[in-house]
Parts: sequence; C-alpha cells; structure tokens
Amino acid sequence: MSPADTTVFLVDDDPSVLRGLSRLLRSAGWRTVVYQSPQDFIDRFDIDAPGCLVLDVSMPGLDGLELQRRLAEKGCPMPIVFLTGHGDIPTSVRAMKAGAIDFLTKPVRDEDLFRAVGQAVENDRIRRQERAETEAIEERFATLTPREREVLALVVSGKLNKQIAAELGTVEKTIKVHRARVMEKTGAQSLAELVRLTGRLQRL
Amino acid sequence: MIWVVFIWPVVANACLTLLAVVWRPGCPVSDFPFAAKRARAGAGVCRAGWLRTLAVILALAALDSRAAASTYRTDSDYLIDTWEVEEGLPDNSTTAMVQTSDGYLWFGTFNGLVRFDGIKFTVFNRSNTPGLPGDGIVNLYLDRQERLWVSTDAGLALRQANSVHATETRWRTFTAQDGWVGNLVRTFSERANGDLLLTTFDGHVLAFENDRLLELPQPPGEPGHGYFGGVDENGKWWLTQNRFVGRWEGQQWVSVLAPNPALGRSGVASAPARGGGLWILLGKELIRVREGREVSRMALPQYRGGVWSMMEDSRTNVWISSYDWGLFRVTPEGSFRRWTTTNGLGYHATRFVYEDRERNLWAGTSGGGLRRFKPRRVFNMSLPSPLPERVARSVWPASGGGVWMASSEVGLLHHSRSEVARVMVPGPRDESIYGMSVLEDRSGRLWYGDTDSCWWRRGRQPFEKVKLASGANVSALFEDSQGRVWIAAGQRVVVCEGNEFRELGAAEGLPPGRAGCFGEDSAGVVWLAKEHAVLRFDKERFVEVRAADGQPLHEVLCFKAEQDGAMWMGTRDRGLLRWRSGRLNLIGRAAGLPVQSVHAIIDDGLGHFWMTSNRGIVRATRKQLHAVADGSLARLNCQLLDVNDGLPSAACPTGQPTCARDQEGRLWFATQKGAAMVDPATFSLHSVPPALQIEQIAYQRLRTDSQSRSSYSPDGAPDLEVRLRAPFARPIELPPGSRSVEIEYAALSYSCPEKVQYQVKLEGVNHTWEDAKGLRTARYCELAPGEYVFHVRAANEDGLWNEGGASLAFTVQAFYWQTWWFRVPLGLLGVSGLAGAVWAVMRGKLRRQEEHLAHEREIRQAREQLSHLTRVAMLGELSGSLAHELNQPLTAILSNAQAALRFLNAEILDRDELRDILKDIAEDDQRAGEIIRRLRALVKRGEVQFQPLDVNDVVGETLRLVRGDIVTRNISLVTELHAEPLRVKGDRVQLQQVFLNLILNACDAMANNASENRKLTVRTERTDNRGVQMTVVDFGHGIPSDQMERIFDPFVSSKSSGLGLGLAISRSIVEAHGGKLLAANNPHGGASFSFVLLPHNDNPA
Repeated sequence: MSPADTTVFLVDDDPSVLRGLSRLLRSAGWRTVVYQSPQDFIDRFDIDAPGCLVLDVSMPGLDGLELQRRLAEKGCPMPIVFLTGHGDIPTSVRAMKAGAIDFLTKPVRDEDLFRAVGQAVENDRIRRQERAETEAIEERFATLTPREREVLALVVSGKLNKQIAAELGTVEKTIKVHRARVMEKTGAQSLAELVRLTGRLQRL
Repeated sequence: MIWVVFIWPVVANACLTLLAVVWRPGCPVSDFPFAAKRARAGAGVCRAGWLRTLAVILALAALDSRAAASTYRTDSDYLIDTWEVEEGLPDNSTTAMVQTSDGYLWFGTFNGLVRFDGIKFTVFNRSNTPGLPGDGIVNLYLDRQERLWVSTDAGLALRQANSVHATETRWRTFTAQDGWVGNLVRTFSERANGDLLLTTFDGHVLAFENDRLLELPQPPGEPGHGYFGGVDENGKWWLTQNRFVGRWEGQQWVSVLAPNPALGRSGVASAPARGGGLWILLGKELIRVREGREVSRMALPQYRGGVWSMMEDSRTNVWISSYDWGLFRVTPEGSFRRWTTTNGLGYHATRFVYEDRERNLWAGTSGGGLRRFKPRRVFNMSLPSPLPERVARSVWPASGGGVWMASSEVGLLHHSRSEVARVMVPGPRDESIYGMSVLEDRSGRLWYGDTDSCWWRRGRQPFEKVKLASGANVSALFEDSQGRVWIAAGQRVVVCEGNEFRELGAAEGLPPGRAGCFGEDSAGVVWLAKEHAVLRFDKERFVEVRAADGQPLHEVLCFKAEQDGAMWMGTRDRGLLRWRSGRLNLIGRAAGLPVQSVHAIIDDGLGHFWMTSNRGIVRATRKQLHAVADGSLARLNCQLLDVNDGLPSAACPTGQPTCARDQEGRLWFATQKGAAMVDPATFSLHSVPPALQIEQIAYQRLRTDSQSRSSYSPDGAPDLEVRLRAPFARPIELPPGSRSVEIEYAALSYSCPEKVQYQVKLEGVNHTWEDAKGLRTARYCELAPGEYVFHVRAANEDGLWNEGGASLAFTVQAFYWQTWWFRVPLGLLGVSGLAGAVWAVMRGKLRRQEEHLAHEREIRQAREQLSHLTRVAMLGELSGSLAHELNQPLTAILSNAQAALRFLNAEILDRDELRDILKDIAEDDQRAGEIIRRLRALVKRGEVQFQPLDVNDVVGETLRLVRGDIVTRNISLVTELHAEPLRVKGDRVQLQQVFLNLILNACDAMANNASENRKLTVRTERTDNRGVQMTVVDFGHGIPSDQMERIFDPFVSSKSSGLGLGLAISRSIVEAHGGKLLAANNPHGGASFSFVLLPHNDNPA
C-alpha cells in the first residue's frame, strides 16, 4: 500500500496543519514532502517524481484549483487529493472534473485520507507502468521504414496482401516481405497483437 | 369580408363559338400555346393564341357597354362584396330588402327580420319582438307612411310608423277577421294615395284601402297560381300572370295583353318602370306598357329562367332575379349580362335586387347570402390568373391608340381596345421580361427600360439598345419640352437629344447616388431627384436645390411643375412638398394627406391632382393643395381610392412614368396587380352624406351599499352596467355615480362602411370636434354631474360630411355631496377647522422643544443598540471566515492526535515526536480559543469605553478575524502598516466594527472580479496634522457617481442582500470619535474608504 519509493506531497498554507497531516501520513508509512505555498511547490517540484499530491483548496495567492490547472498545463499527471475547510459543491465538481482523486473536508479522518492517498498512489503507479510499456512499443515502431509504415497502416485496416499490393502499386510478394519485417520489428506475434499495439500508439 | 371578384361575363361555350369567327386565318395555330413557341423576330407584336382568346373575351365583355370605359372594359361595372354567415350575416337566405328613412337597411330572412348598419346586423324575431307573427320573413314592403309590411310564414303584419327601430313597437297583425286570405305575399304595389295592392303566391289579390283589407274578385288567369301586382301612372291596378295580363277597371279585370298560350308559369313578372308605366316580362320578351298600352318590346333570347322578382334601378337597368338562373341584367341599350355562382353570386337562386340611397345594388339569394354590387369608379385592367402580367411597373398611352405597359413579369405589353399583346424586346436571355419603364416620345419613338438596359425604336423598326445606359436598372424615362429624352439608369443619367446620346456625370456636377426621377419646371429647367439630393440642370450644370435651412431634400420620388414656377415633389416618407422660389411647404399626414409616400402626381386637367402611393391613389383639388401649402387651409379634404373602389391593388410602384393621361383625358395607373384606369370626366363622388344614428348609451354605476345588501344584485359585480337603447325616453338622466359613459352610434353609409370617419364632441366637456377615426363608440370616464349634449358627425369614404350629424342630450345627476347646498356649509366648516389646527400646531411646537432633550438621550441609546445589532449581523457575513479559521486548528489537532495514536502502536516509541505532537495540539487549541474570544469581544454588548489604543493593533486583530474570508474569496491582501504605534483614544470594539465593515464591503465589491484582480490594500499612516488615517483600498466596481452623495445615508446599499445600515453606523461611530469617514473612487478602478482620527491627546473623551 505504501511502497517506499512513492512520496506524498503536501501543500497547505497553515504550518501547523501541514505538520499534523505530514505526521499522520508518516505514521502510516508514507514518505512526505511539505510545501507552505503552491508557488513553493511549483518552484521545487520534480515533475517525474512518483507519488501523489494532497492539496488545500483555499490558500492565499494561488489556490488549489489554480495549481491543479497549472500542473495539467505543464503536463504533470500526478493524481491530486483535495482538502478543504468548507466543501462547497461547485468547487468540488470543478476539481473532480479536472481529474482530482478525491475531495475531502477538513478536519479529515485518517482512514478517509489514507484511502484517498492510497488510491491516488495506485493510479500513479498504473499510469507510470502504462507509460513505460507504451514507450517500449514506440521504440520498436520507430525502427520501421516509411514503406513498412505504409504497409502497416494498410494491414491493420484489414486489407489483404493482394489489395495492399494494388494500392501501393507493387506485387503481392513484396508486400509479404514487408509484412514479415513489420511483424519482426514490432515483435508482434499475430495480426491481432499488431492491431492492438498500433491502437495503443494511436491512442497516445 | 370584402371579396372582389373578377367577373367574366361570357360563358365558355359562347366564347368558343365566337372564337372561330374572330380567329384570323393568316395566323398559324402553332403559335398556341404561348409558352411553346415565342416569336424571336425581336420586334413586332406577337399575337399568341391565349392572348387572342382573351381578346375575344374582352370584345364580348365590351358588348355590355356604357359610356366611360366602353372600349377598355376588362372586368365588370361592379365591385361585388359578399356577406354570408361567415361575415356575420344571420342567415344565408335573404328574401326582401327595404331602406327606412333613418338610413337603416332591413331585410328578411327565415330567422327573423334583420337590421343592417353596414357593419353590424341586428336580428328582430319573436323572442325579442312579440308583435311579429313568425320568424320566417318572406316579403317586406315600406309604404309611403314609413309603415313596414312584413309577410311571414305565419301571417301578415304591419309595423307602425315612427317606431321603426324600437323593440317596443306597435304591431298590427292581419287575420281572417281583418280580411286576410292567402298564404304569402308575392308583391306589394302602392298608389300615390297610399292604397296598396297585395298579391299572394296562391293567387289571391287584395287591396288595402281606408285602413282595411279587401279581397278583389278572382282574375281570369290560371287558378291557384300567383300574380305579379302593379300600379300604373293613372293609379290603376295591374296583374301579370302566364294566362292573364290586365288591369282593374273599377269593377272587373280587363285583359290588356294576351300571353302566348304556350308560356310556362315561371318566366313571368312585372315591375314598376321609371318614368311611369310597367315592365312586364313574358317568357323571353320584356314589354314596357304605358298609358295602358304596350310601348316597347325587347326580346331576351338568352333568358331561360323562372322569376322571383324584377326591378329597375336608377340607371334604368332592369334586373331579373331568377330562382333557377341567377341574376340577369338588361340595359336600356338592350345588352344583357348574367351573374351566377361562377362570377360572384353565392347561389343561383336569387330573391331580389334592391338599390339603396347611395345607388349600391343589393342582391339577396336563397342560401347564398347577400351581395353588394357597387358601381366601379376605377376600372381594373389587370388580367385574371393564370395570365402572368400582374405587376405593372409603368404605363404610357400609345400614340396609335391603346396603352403601353411595362410589367416586371412579362416585359412590354400593349393594351389596345380589344386585345392585350406582348411586344418582344431583346433581353439578356432570349427576351426582356423585367420591364421597368416605358415611354413614347412626341417624335414617335418608343422607349423601354428593363432591369438591365434601355431600348428604343421608331415605328415598327427593330429595337436599338442605348449603350450608355446598359448594365443598370432603368427606373425613369422622361421627355422634356425640348423633346430631349432623359434616362435614369442606376447611378447614371443619360440624355438623348435628337439622335445624340450623352451621359451626364461628375463633369456636369452630378453627385453620386441612385438617380430617381425627372421633372421640368415652367422655365424649362429639368429637375432630377437623386437618393439624397434634388438637382436642377441649369446651364449645362447640375445645381442642388436645398431647403431654406440648407438641408438637402431626401427621397423625392416625383415632380409636378406649376405654371407659376412652383414645383410639387412627392417624397417617400413625408408626403408632399411644394417648392416655390426657394421656400418649401409640406403637406403631410397632419394636414390631412392620408398617405406618407407620394410616388407620382398627375393633373387630370379638371382641377384635380391624382397622387399614387403604396396605399392607394389620392385625389385632391389643386386649389386645396395650394391653400394647405399656403397655410390658409388647415386640412385637406381628399379621397383615397383603393381596392374598395376597384383598384386591383392599393400599392402603386415607384419609378417613372407610373401614371399617364391619354388623349381622351383618361388616367392610367400602374399598380402591383396590373394597370387601372379612371375617367376623371365621369368620376363621381359618393354624394349622399351618411345618415347618423345614436344607437345606445351605456353607463356603469357604482353599486351602493344599500343595493349590494338587497337581493337586486344577483351577479355580485362591483359595478352595474345599464344600457339605454334608441329610441330614447327624454330627457335621459343618468343617476348619481354614473361612470364610464359609452355612447354607440353608426353612420349608415353602405358604399364603404369601413372607410367612414367620425368626429365627436361632448358639449360640457369640449367645444371642438375630436377625431374618432372609424370608431363607433365614444367613451367618457368620470363625468362630473351636469348637463351634456353629445354630438357626432360622419364622413363617407369620399370625405363628404354629414354636417348636421346626430346629437343626444343627457344629464348626470349629482350625489348630495356634489351639490352646492352641501358644499358651502362644508367649506365653512373646513375653514374653522383649519384655524383650530394652526393653534394646535403652535402649542405642539413648545411641547416638542421640551421633549427634544429627552429625545436625544434616547437616540444615543438607540444608536448604540443599533451598532451592536449591526455587529451581530456582521457575524453572519463572517461565518465563512470563521469556519476556515476554526477548521485549520481543528484539522491540525485531529491529524496530530490520530498520528499520535498510531505512533503509540509503533514498536519503538519516539518520545520526542509525541512531545512535539502534544505541544502542537495545545498551541492549536489556544489558537482556536483566541478566535472565539475575539468574536465574543466583538459581539459583546457593553458601555462605550474610550481608552488609549494602537490603531495598528486594532487593524491586526480585525484582519485576523477576517483572514479566512479573504482567503476563501481568493483575495490577495496587502497590509501597509505604519512602522510606529499609532496612538488614539477610542472604543476598541467600535473601531474594529468600522474597520471590519470597510473590509467586508471591499471584499463584496470585488466578488465579481477575476481572481487576479481581487486585491485589497489596508494601510495605516499618520496625517500631516498628526492625525491617524486608516485606509481600505479595493479594486471593485467603485461607487456609482449618482450614489456618491448618498452612500452614508441609511438604507442605501449596492448589495442585493444588504440592509444599507453598515456605512451609516460606521460614520456615526467615527463621528462620535471626533473623526471623519471618507469615500473616494480610485483613479484606476475601485474605491477607497478611510477614516481619520485625531491623535489621542486632542481627542475629546
């Protein structure tokens, strides 16, 4: 539940609240890093660090929702758990729509906090894993020649070799060769897998 | 309601028979139909087949002819309007009609007797008229003594004179004891001495002499079959039947004419003839008898019907109403015309034709309603659908006879006396169809403009294109006195002198803008109207004509020059302008011109101007127009001709020429639905002024208590409406409290009741006539007690007033308190009361001064209470802040406590950690407690205590209270506190309250700002004179300039939820501290509030 290499980043403008929350999370075994203001967080934060963010909604200057927006702009996919002193519905809806994991009301019960943080960390882990896989596929696909990419596109659209040959103005035999090389380079064991791999790339 | 019918007089088979005769053998049949093959010769008259068909129809129509429009008759002499149940007619079967001397038309139906005032029908039947023997009215007759004879299916009745339109009339019913025999009266005939001859449908003949009915001996005709009665110029009774035509010779019936023994029963009738004698119809022969002898005999070969009735109208046409063959008219010249369901009648069974005083003819049918045949004054030259040439843009008389017409759907047309022919003009595609303008100049050249180019030809030569004017809409063609032809084509102006074409432009001083129309003044100078200017072409240059005040003349649509140098101009939206030596006079709606736009003006040579517009054609005398323009006449009396007079459409196009006068003096007009023609020489005004009747006076009276308590008011309505109907009992007295008096009246003009205008005047209220337009009700509210005379007068469609009008005197009675004998003592009482009041006021003033001191004490207490209450109220506004402020320590405490519990469960106990936790918990708890303490201090109610304090402290403490609110509202706070303590003497709580109020206001003012614009600055500083100033600066909406003066007044608030007390109380607090509370708008948005206090040693304690 709390792998040692994940960190919970805490942002709250009230130092005593920050201390208390940090202690609570540490008592459950998480590593925590605290920031006294959103600006502080933006300045010091490592975008690739694994973990999740626990964020107070109302802070002077930059508020929590604004920080969420800025992180999204920067392409930081870190899951966020919001804390608020007064859980008004419009704010929570906005936060959840923007991808927040949970929206908790202060004072927060420990199990609620742990559950939300646990889920956020898990989401982060899955996301990272998926990204690693996609990157691997991308690497393999990068080795394809332009001609092989053309053949690949037609193969995954369900065309027969004969049709592909006609479309590309060549003979079926050449297509077979290209096709075999595509399978080989991408490491796909079957046409179905090739389609799946291509689909994942296109999704990204 | 009005349904104008295009009437085509000739039945199809007659048309086809004659077609062959008229058809010229030289013309190939393949020309037919029109669309199949079009002549491409470029010039010449195309005689398409359908046009010839039409021409035949026109020629046939022309057979039925009379003076004015003889050669151009394209439709009926009459405009036919319909009244059926849908139009309010009580019954579609109308049986007979009379017009009483008071002007009402009365007709019989099978559901009662109906009175008609042109708009409204009033039914008299057995339910409201007990004297009537039955509801089925078969025949009506109004005798010389104004007695109405009514033959009903339940007997004969007579309504006595002087009670014609009253419900409580004297009715006399005839029974067998009175000598009445027979079933229903077929005819009434009256001698000059008032004796009547009545004939019945079942063959009885009765005389009404010396107030008695007496049956005459049976004539020797076919028994059981009814006769047509009659009386000749010598007072002799006549009877007409298929077996007997003869007269009563004192003792016996003597046969005069011997009808053909083969004659059937049906085609027989007689009617009184104008100028004496009788018309007698025997089958297919119409015989006139006079002095007891036959004087003329006319054959009616076409006539094949059975007859209900026959009459001769004032134009000496004989109308035969047939029960199975429609309506048949025989003119004195012997031409015939028949109307049936195909050309205007609702049903072919016609009962009667009746001519009213305005010479409208009314035809009643059995089941097909009532028709009004109104003689036309304007002749409609449009052709009925499906022929396409409906939109006439321009008309011009052709030198060889007939009229040219430019149509925007079929190009150029020539209306000759008996045909309508299309003239082919080359166009951008095939041939020109969008005709805009046509003109034949004095040298015989024909000019024609369409939406693209302008063409001309001489005689029958091919058309030539005016090159300079191509590519633009030709809106005007004009020939001046020198024979130059002017062409307006879009922005261009081209003039043709002889055979030379010249385009006039900027070199001649022509401004840009669309060219509209041309005119020429008496000095021979050509005028041109452009969109925004009127120009004169003087000495080869255009010079602008402006109003005396230098304003340009906009939107002039036409010119009409006068011999004295004056120029009339029709405008698009202001009516008519007269320009005379630089001075302009306007004749608009206010001066009685019934239209706003004047598209063309033409002089008929008989002293009238005819002006076209988009709402009809206005006819006014030239003299009157000048008088109105000169200011010597206030209002123009003119006629507006529209579809009610036979115009095919009231909308006349703009452009030039859109109307023209031909050699015979006839006027031609282009309209949106074809051309129309008027002959001013025979044009007559409706010369019968409308009769006026006041029909009803109604008033509402307030129900008094005694009435509402009595059983007299079953409906429970607050007011009682009382109606008095004509004839009125005189004098009319309306009881006290009568309100909302309504008087209903009607002008009995039947030519065009919709266009009747009324004027009303209530003597006792106003002395001048008020325009009531077409309203038939005058309403007066809250009339004071007194005597009144109501007057009404009316003008018919041609503006002919019934100057006498009608009047009705009535009195509104007074309540006792509205009378002088009540009011004078009351006035005296009032004066003495006033004196007493003055004395009382003086005494009260002294007492008030004593009370004043006590009062001030109370006010101070009240102010303190109020200031406390406002503080408590502010607590509500602070709740968001408090939640945040308390939540933070509580969150910290809870997190710490939960963490501590978990650490206790750990294997190794970290004492330092636990100590830190407990320390934090204690601190946070204190923090929460502090917040609550501050709050309580704020809302505590206590005596005001002035004590030395540091303003910076007050500010800091207040900011702590409100910090949460500032954070949750996303406002960035800047505090600029003076570095040294700022000592003043004051009440801490009250100063906090002021400060809190200013901050909360500032926060509210910025609620709608974008978050980056929510900036709040709090500043404390020392002023020049060692005073202390605290300032709150926001970036909100600022103070509206109109409220700047009032913001410190109580109950003034810019917030929807605010009470408007905060600033008022703040001000009173600051003033109690000897300071000032100031407000100002910042130069870069938002407002600043500051309060200045004196340093504490100067402070009043």
